[in-house]
Amino acid sequence: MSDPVKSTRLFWYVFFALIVLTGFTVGQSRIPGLGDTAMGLIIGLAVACTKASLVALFFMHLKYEKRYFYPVVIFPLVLVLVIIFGNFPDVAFGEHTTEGVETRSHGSAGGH
Amino acid sequence: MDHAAAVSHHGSDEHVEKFERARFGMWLFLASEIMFFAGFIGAYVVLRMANPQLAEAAQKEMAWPLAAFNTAVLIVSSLTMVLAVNAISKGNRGKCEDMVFITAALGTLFLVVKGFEYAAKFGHGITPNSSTFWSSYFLMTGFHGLHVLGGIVAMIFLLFYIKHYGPERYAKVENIALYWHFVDLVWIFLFPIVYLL
Repeated sequence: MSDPVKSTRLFWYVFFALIVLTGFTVGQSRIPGLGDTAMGLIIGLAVACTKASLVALFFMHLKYEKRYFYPVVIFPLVLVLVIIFGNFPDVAFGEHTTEGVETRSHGSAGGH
Repeated sequence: MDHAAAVSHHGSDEHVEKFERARFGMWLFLASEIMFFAGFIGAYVVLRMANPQLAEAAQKEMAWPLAAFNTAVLIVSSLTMVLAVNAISKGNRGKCEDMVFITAALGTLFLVVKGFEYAAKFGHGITPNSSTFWSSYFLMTGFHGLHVLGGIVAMIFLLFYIKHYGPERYAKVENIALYWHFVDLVWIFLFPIVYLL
């Protein structure tokens, strides 16, 4: 398949969008009271996903591929989300945090 | 491009299908690479959530300006790589060679900057043994750097063969470009979660 995008203008638009989004990510992470909060984290990840989508769809030409290409990309991404967020109930809130370990050792001091 | 136009351009149904199979194979490989990095990033997220104080202490040592510069370098290299594919698809081998060379040079620049960053950390006594945070940091960025090196090696080989390629035989250029964009894509996630957030 030859490059479905004859004009290079689209690539330049995507490139400038990526640079602007990178600057935005850096800028918002340096704002006190935003960069180190949950909202800053959400914004940073959302911008990263947007940039990744631009690269995948336009630079990697995924937008112009046949539909059977999409499950090859989407399925691993779903697994990635499971790997990363599947542990959250334990590591973020459960007994596997540092605080949780300290609580357990205090509670079972007589048993050792 | 519709099928008739693709056949007209490449000369046969067989060529069009070969190109498509080659690209599909490359995407399958990239899917395995997604899982490769997902393991490291998942471990990093879990370790960081279990020990947030380690991450907070490490942020002081993070050279985020250097990493931001490296991010821009990789984004520019992605642009030059896609321009290389566009050039060879139009039969412009000279421009394709130039763009592949610039991409490889930018990848080398990325590794040089990364080398300075590692040297500074080692100079401060920070090694993979320092803590679980630094262990996962070096693991993620180290393997990403190895992937960048692999891409540069592939592009060097490509420069020797581009003169034999025309608009009907540029599957190798396209597949190496896919790999390079993936390397950029991984860094798009690594940069904010390691250096900024």
